Amino acid sequence: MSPKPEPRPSTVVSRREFLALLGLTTSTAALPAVRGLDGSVAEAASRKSRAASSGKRKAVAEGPVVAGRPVAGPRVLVVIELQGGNDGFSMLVPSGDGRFRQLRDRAWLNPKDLTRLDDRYSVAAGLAPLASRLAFVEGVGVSKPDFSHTAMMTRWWQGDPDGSGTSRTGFLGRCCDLLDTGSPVVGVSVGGGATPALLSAKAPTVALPGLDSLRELTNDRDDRMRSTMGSLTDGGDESAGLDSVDSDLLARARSGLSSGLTLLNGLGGITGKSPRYPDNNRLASALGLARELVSLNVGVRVIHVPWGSFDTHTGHAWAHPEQMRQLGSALTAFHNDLVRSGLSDRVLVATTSEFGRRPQANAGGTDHGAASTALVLGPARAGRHGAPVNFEQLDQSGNVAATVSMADYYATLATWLGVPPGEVLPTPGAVLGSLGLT
Amino acid sequence: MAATSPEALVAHVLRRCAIAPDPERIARFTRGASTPQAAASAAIDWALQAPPLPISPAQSRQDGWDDALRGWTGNLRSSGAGLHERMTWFWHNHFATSSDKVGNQAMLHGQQQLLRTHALGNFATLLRQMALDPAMLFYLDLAGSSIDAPNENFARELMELYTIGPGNYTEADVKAGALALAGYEVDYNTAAVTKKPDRSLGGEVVFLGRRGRLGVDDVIDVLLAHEATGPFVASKIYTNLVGVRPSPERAKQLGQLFRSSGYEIRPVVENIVRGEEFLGSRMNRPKTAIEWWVGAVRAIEPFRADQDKDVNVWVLNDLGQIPHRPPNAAGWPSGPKWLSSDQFVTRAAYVRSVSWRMEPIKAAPGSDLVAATLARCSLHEVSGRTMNVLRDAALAVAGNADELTISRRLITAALLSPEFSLA
Repeated sequence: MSPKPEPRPSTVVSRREFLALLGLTTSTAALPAVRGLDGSVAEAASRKSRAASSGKRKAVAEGPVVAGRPVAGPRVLVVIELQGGNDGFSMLVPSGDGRFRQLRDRAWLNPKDLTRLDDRYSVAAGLAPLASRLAFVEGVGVSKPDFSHTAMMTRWWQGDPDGSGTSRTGFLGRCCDLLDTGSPVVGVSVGGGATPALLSAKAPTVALPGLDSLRELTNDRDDRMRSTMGSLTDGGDESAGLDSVDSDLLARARSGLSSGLTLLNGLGGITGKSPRYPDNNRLASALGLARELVSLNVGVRVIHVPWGSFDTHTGHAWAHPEQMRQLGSALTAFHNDLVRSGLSDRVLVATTSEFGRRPQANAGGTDHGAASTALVLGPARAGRHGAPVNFEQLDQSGNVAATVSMADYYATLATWLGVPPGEVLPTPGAVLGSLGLT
Repeated sequence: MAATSPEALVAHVLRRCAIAPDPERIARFTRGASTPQAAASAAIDWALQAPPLPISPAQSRQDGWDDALRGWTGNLRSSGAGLHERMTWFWHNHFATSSDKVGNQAMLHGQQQLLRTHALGNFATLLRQMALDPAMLFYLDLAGSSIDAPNENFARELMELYTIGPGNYTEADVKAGALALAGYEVDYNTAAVTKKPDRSLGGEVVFLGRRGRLGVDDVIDVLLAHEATGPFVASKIYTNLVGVRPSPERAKQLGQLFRSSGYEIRPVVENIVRGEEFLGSRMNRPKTAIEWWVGAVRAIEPFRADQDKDVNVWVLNDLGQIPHRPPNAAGWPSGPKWLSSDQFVTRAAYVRSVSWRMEPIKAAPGSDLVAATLARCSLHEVSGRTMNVLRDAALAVAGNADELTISRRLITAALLSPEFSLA
């Protein structure tokens, strides 16, 4: 299979043009952002969902979402990394499974935190307002799990299901390499600094710094400053040579500064003004920025958002539902924003997490597990996908076996982006056809 | 190798054995030194003997998050910070504990005191006390763990991160360790730690080959007796101070030294910084955000006497390295993360925003502005490429920009240079 051709946005500026802009202009003038369409009235259903969420948050003026005119452009994958090991069984809850209920007895969720779907499943109440749009992929994991955060995060970042440790780049970074057509920025990490997930061989991938920092620099009145910083990255007179003790690291630092300046020119116009996103919700802020990144039309194809504290060894029954409320309200705001902005057909959200939690609870929490449920939102078929795990057959560590491999899950996402799975995964997985992501 | 100046060697010693160098201290060790190596030796002697800095009393306030931050960063910025302060920070990274989860400044203050007390003392003692430290008990969920449903979080990290390292234990050891360590409770208000017999191990477990009715002391005895602990922990110290991992032989040798001394920290640290690899291992790893920031503040200071001395410590939050807020139990990552685009943008914005108040750079007689800039940043090994940029910044604009504007350009270029981003 070959990469799917994507329509190129008309306002895209080449990397070369961007570098030419260094020190001369700010990107706001060169790259007008596409704004979402306005117009909405209040609606009872969404008010109800707001009432269910934390009272600390400011109410969001939300209503029936008026779909915006579709804005042409390439597909964009937004990966939310649920950090700490998310319990998929508390997201899409197998509440009708007697064995599971028995194992989880000590950390069972409060009835108010569960919304019943059918005889077999409930959904976390925080996700209920979105439930009809969400795709749940059950049983995502690896065949030989490890229970160390570091080891499993590395496998997920690198797209290395067996932990072979042979990859030097990240799975998303490799996708960026294949999607790179010379645009200023292909992959962006929002909210957590640089991530190994986006480590690429050649494609420009950056971490979005704080907006105050971008503003400070875009407003700098010393107009020579950027060209001076730019000259640090090319060094001017090459004949001066490199008399350094370790040219590798110096080159790496130069390239980091260079990407920083590219970022400043490409993404410096980002505003962070997302009035329709809930306050006091870091994921919502990050997703508001992600929507702006898509609208800036600078060629961003992959956005990585690390978020959450899912390592619920204690207090699982209150901590997880709270995370679900934040996840639900952030995803709702993001989805509505995409619909309004005419972007919902070409932006796909997918979650990852290093591992799930063990079915058997400890005193009031859950320890490191294996297979878990992942969420997909966007142009994917809603409902359950993959295959349910079997709580009657636990392995030696007390965990369920994965029914969908990391490779299958990643292959599905890569395929949707137009990237051949075989070129970004050690063993190409089987695309999950039921999601309809072709 | 070409002859290295005494300034370059002393700056290296202070980048590694303190938090960052400063011009006054470099001058103190280079003045009158017979050779560059003699100057470096004097700096190492000083760093080893530099007295512990006091913990700020303001940090003991229950709600003093801002004070706590200023207290610790104040110590890191102090010109008296030597290896004791460096190792205090190292152990905070080793036993990384976050206020995001603990949420109790008094407990975190207590843990910081523990780190400060044993920073160059005894690792075995530090480990024993850390295992029952109230903040740690909350952070890794040992508080409240009970024998009938033991919490595995601490048992796993105790082996993976603190002692023997990954690959040296099985899941069965994690489960056995969790059983042996169960039964502790912490009073959130008084920080009192108690053991509940009815929630503690009654029977026997097998932990890393040792069978018995084990408790926390036994678990730690087993780990301290394990052959992997010495090399694992000593290698981590070596990597921090030398910049690269030790060879297998060196790791083994340091591990033996560590273990045979009963896990005394100072002899290992001294062996590393006096070792033959140390002085040659310059600029071979990225500075972490804290190291960069302390160096930058030193270069931008002294602020004008009539100005507020606020250096905006909160930039450390944007830079991703703030005391008591590590990203996870493994501490802050080392390596290329600190050379990424967002670091440079955030650092550039910081330098631009605080350099308004800097004392303009003055060239000493017989020197030039570029040399004065580099000295102020304690940069004594700079590539020709960076020199060219600084010369351009100093020359091209001399006619039409004021003194402060030129100084700010020079200091921005120097602090954003590839060289300044390396330790």
